[in-house]
Amino acid sequence: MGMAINHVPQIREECEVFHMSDKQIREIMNRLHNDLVKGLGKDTHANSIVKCWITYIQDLPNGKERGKFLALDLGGTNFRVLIINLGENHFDMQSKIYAIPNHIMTGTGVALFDHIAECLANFMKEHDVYKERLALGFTFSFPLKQLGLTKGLLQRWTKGFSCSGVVGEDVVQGLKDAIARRGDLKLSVMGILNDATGTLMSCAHKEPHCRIGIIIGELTMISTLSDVQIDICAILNDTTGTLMSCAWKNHNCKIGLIVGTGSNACYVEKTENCDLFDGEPGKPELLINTEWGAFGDDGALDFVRTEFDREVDVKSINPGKQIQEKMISGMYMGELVRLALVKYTRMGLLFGGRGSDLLFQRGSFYTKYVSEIESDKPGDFTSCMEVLEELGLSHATEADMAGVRHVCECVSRRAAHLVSAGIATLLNKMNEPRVTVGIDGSVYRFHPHFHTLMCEKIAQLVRPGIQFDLMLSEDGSGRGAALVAAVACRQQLGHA
Amino acid sequence: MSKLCRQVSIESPGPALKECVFSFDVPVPDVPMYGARIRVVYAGACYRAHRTRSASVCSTSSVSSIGSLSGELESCGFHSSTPSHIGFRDGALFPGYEVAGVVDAIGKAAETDGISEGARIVLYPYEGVPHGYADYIVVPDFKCLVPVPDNLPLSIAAMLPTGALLATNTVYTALESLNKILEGPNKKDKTTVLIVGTGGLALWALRIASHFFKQSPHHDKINISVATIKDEGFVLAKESEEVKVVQWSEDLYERQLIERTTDACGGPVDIVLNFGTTSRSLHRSLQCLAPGGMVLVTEDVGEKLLPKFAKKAEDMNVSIVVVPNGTIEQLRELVQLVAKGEIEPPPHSVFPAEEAQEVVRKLCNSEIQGRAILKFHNID
Repeated sequence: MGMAINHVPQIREECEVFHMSDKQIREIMNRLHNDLVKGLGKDTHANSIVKCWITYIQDLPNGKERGKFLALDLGGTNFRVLIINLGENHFDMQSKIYAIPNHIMTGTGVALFDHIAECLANFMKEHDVYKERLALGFTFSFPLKQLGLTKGLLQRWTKGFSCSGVVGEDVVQGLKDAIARRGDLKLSVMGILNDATGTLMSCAHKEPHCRIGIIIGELTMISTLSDVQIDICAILNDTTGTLMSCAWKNHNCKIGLIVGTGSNACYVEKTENCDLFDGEPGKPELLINTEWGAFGDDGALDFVRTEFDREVDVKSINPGKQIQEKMISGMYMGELVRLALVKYTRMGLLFGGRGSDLLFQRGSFYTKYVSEIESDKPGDFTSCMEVLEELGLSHATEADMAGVRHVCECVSRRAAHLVSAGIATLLNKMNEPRVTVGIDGSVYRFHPHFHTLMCEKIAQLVRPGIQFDLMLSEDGSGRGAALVAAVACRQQLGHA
Repeated sequence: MSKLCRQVSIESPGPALKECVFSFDVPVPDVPMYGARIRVVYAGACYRAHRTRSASVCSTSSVSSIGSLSGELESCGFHSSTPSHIGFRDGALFPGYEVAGVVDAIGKAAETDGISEGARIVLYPYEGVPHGYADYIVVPDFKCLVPVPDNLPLSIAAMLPTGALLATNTVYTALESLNKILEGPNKKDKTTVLIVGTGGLALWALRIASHFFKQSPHHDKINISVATIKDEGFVLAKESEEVKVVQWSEDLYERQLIERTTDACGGPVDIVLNFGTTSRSLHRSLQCLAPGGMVLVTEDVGEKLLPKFAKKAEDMNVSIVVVPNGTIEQLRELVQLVAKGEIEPPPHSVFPAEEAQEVVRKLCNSEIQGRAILKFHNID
């Protein structure tokens, strides 16, 4: 029996690598600001690291959006199909979550879109919307070069996806092709224009592909041309959805932020600053999707990165890419903690130097463990103990648990500070007196202190005179997508 | 006889996967008076159930096996919860004793009931089964033997005594409850049963549940869903069109998983069949339940976790029900149902008994599709 030695002071020293000084944070803000400007500039965009894609959205919700919309949400935690009904001051929504097996995430693009179309068809069957002609918002949460509201080319895959044949291609077309391949979502002319409405309706019930997007009595509105029942499809990414959804409730919302599986932000920029905008002139504002997850891909963050960041990057599916995202988001946070714990165990600072096969297994320290461990009240280690038992480390002492908690805090705090630096950079650039930041994402939602850490840090970094607040945006991918689809419809129909 | 034969015993895997399979030579045992000696042909790969009183030395093991006792004692009391190897959560690795073999010799005073030497049998896992699988084992009471019809291969029969039997008893218990819910005062329009995992045990439960639920008068009001732990499980669970699949991707937050589950099942579920042995898995199952719902767990899980969750379950107005191993009558019925083809066994692979350590490692990581069977002898 030996005395349990308390190595917590040494662990604190080791964890200093995760600490960023104010000077370092301000340097990061400078570099990010420069990269944003490069992304927006005509001559510099092609080589810029932070792309600042134009979203073609120039209107925030005006509150007059009405109607029923379909939405698809891919790239977040779940793949969902949704149907949203926008009313005067309320909206209702039904959704269904579908599984995406790993082999589809990493297989062919055709298989991915076929799977999406299959889920869409399944959902439409269940919700009996075969008779309706609906606009669809497609929340596609990957770096997208938008060429219009309804056309976007995938720049690259992130967050564990890697389907072949999609990079550089129009994602909307990919979906349309899959729908066309299916056949059951095609419109077919039943040749019974003169029949009574009843016959048409009963026909629609029996024949799943008889798509009558009409209202009783207006027989001539049967479309003979479009081969998809989905009318208009707008494509957006999750940060845009978050901003739109928040803006619907709070008109000061000018920034949308995601801190979840990935990390990204979009914000309202002045059209005059966006060299690459080639749409109709006249509107003063334009939504920009920064894709700031890629910040640091050129080495700009190397002065604060650790050996653990480098290892996570090297072992990832996209080494060298999305460097800032890998320091912030949920996909990597747990792994960063694990690598630090492994190192400290091998140094003899934790668990008496004895790990477990689960501790040494890549990916075994889930990001949710970080939230669970930090949810314990100070001095209490109940959740920490449960997590360690699950990892086969039931021989952990209380000192070990304090050490583990400290590592978690250092990693999550660094993530919060990086995000805060980004938000402060945007706020300073926009220079608006009052801005609401709409935020979504599992890390932000479920981590007990993330919000507080962000509030404190942004306040320190933002220019005096700028008031901001952080608001949890709900269902950006659902409601936000519907709102973007509504905007797309409005624009298509030529309304201002 | 003074000959030696080999014995393989599989202990409960601890945090370090090595050193849980012990092989040593034991003397071929003498035939007990009221029992029989069995030549083991196939054995289902599962580990020895831990009961607190099981530290006694088995009379058939040789002196050299004492070395394993200290390992036994250490793994016996010190782990109050199992590390979350995927095999445990998936229902791939579970405690039990499954032997299919041939009657080698019959005790002088045994009541054979028509079973003769050379007959093919499976062994009902009675209290005090041998500590491992050996080429020859003895059974003190002849009545624990269940004959296997000629058209049922012994390799399949070897999957029945614990895996299928436990699944059967769990399904029976679930069906009883479902009938109560569907016939009771608060008649429900539909009920959902969620099976957690797609390892061997969970797959048995899925097939047995589908079979027995069809015979219930309320079968059109019972929906089955499967929570897959592994990606490949998606394919296995999708064998039936009506089965809804929900992915329990472990890297998601608990609230997200619960939301995903209630979404896929069309609302909170009524019964969860959870063979997975982790605290987290049980807690999650509880949170997916509708008021009045229940989670069915195995005896060893119940022993470990019921004290921890009893109060919480009560507060949530749900319950945890411990399901014991099935009866010998159920085993007899099961043998007949599988022999007749009315219940199809899950996929399974046969491995030589020498590879037991590797097989257990694979089961811990749920790398084997369906069940793993160890082969001791060449017959069939």
